[in-house]
Amino acid sequence: MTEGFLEAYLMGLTTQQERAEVEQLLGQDTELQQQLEELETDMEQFFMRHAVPPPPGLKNAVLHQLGGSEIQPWAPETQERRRPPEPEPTGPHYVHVDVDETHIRVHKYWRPAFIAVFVLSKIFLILGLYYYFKASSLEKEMLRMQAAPVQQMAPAQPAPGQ
Amino acid sequence: MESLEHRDKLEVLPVKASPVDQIALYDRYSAMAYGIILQIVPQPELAQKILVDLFTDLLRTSPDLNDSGLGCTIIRMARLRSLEIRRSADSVAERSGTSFSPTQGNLPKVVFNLSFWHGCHPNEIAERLQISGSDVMKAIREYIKSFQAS
Repeated sequence: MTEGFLEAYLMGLTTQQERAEVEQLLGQDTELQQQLEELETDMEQFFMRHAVPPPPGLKNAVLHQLGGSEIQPWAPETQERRRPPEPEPTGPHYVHVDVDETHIRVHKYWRPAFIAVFVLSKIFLILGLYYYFKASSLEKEMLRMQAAPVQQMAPAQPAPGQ
Repeated sequence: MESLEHRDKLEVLPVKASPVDQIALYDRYSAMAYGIILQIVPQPELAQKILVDLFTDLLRTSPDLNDSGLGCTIIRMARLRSLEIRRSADSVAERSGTSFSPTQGNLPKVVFNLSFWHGCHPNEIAERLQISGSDVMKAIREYIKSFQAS
């Protein structure tokens, strides 16, 4: 085979007749086939090194044209894209709440508030218990002191026979 | 082995590639194809249109991602489509204005540029550069061999 024909064939630079000749030879020669595969790999790597990433919107455009996507049709990047006008608010603004939701979202400032309430509740519980037991012990002490003079006075009383 | 002619044929097959395969193929080769298209058609708007049409047609054929020649098929398709678009836009006079003054050192590059990027037939290149047809082929081979080295 003429030198360079395989490369020209691979790049699509040959005529139909030349292509047919190369294909005939490729069908007979496995070594040539292997050479072609090696060339394909080299060529792909070369052009990969000179790749230019296309604008991201093009992928959606391709998928849209294939009909398998709900994505909006593509317009070239350089064209001015107009944002659709936002609808004017016609009534009071409502927040949609889904009743089946198991979680709620609150502002982050509620977190220290909840912590403060929790800590204060513990402090009040401890103080409550402390004063309860203190009051209880004082009450017992008072009862004991009230009972003590009676016991002290009892031996001082004169005997009925004296 | 599958012939190039068969590979480049874009028949719309009834079986469609899955969206995942389509995206994988696009992700793998779109930048390479866009680089080639932009080199031939420097207008981004036009180049983007060629790329979209190329991948739309290609993905409709359900290509095999594991085919070792798929990259080269895309290279050829990108080149051919870009050249077609450019030919319709350019006049013959503009194409003839391309530099045809190679030195001994850059002959392979000039020949490759003329054939691949400008779409000149090897016979036309031989005639213009006053070299033989086999020298044109040798130059193309030499330049493609440099792909390995680069």
